[in-house]
Amino acid sequence: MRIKKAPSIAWRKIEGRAFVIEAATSTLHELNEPGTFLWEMINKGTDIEEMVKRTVREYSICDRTARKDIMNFVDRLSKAGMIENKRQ
Amino acid sequence: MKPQANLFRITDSKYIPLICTFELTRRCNLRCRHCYIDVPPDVRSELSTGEIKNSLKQLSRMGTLMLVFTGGEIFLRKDLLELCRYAKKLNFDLKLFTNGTQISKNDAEELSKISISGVEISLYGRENVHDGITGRKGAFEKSIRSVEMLKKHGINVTIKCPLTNLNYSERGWIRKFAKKSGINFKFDPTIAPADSGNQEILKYRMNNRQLTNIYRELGEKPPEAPARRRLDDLSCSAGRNVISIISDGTVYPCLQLALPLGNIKHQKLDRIWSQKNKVLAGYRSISNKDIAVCNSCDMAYLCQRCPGIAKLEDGSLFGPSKIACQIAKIHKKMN
Ligand code: SF4
Repeated sequence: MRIKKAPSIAWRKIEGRAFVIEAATSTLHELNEPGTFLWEMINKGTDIEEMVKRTVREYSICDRTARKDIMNFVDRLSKAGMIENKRQ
Repeated sequence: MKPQANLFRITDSKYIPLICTFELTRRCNLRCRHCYIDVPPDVRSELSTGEIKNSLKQLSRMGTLMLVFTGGEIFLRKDLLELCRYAKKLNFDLKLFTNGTQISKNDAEELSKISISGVEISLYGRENVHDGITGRKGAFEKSIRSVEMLKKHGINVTIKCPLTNLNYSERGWIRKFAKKSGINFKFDPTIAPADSGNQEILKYRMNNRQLTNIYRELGEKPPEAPARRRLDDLSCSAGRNVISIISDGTVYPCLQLALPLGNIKHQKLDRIWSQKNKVLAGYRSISNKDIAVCNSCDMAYLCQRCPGIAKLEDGSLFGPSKIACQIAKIHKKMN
């Protein structure tokens, strides 16, 4: 599965954290460090399998935990209208 | 800390230009009586598409997130949609300020696809008043058509209404129109002197009674919160996390504060914005003790003083602003 940022989203990484604006509601979100790590991969069009691999490496956690955390994160982004899911 | 407050705190302390007002052109098809641009624009000095794109790239690297394209009338630039597309590709939160008379159906469709954050359209009241202020018959009809068209395409529209003594009595109509159309509106009662220093347009400022009524109607608080960094600090965000670039490439700390810091045609933006820039560093170092009269004023906590307007009013960055004093007095009476 590949995930894409919704077109209306604006964002910038400032001092290590991603600040993300949803244009429709003008809501500003601040992502924490792991969130920013995942968000940057999403923006580069990285697919889920690759995201899991890199997260395992970055945070020295097991594959299962990484996958669960990523899916939770993706789910939250999706509910907030910040991403578009594309099954491939 | 809320994301908004944290973002402002970080960018203010690190001098990251979070908010950029980018003036794309000074050309305009209207002749609004209160307009602060009174020097005929030199089209030859206008930035090219490539120069603007290059500055946007630099801004995105420096941390700018909120971007406003303003004019003049921005839709007179043939490359506007291209610039909007480019800005969105760089992940800016993009808003457009326009008089709304030059927007085609195709523009509205494209802007909707580009997913900009919003469009603010200047509207001064009903047809006679609007056309009278803008000096163009038919301007009202075109602007209203644009409001409707943009809304139809799902674009956030805000009516922006600078209030003067010419359209003071139109405020009720504007409010109703915005409500009926399901869009936001903003009143701005602060008419600034022209950027040449010409004070002529100040004759359109509302009198005390009119201003008091406006603030009563809007509630106790001023319509636009002061861009104060802290309540006990008389300086604002200009030159810290606010930057402005005007149509010939000159960089200012803010569009209202004509303090030339450099020009992007000849210099890299991060150099212009650095503490090594003596003009900018000097401006950033201004503290309360430098602002005579204001630093001992008992209304300072209510004050909206804009250093740019203070400078335009009497040539000094270091003193009170007449309009700010007038509004602060009104708020003091209301409190
Ligand atoms: S009310 Fe006037 S004197 Fe007092 S702080 Fe504001 S601008 Fe300065």
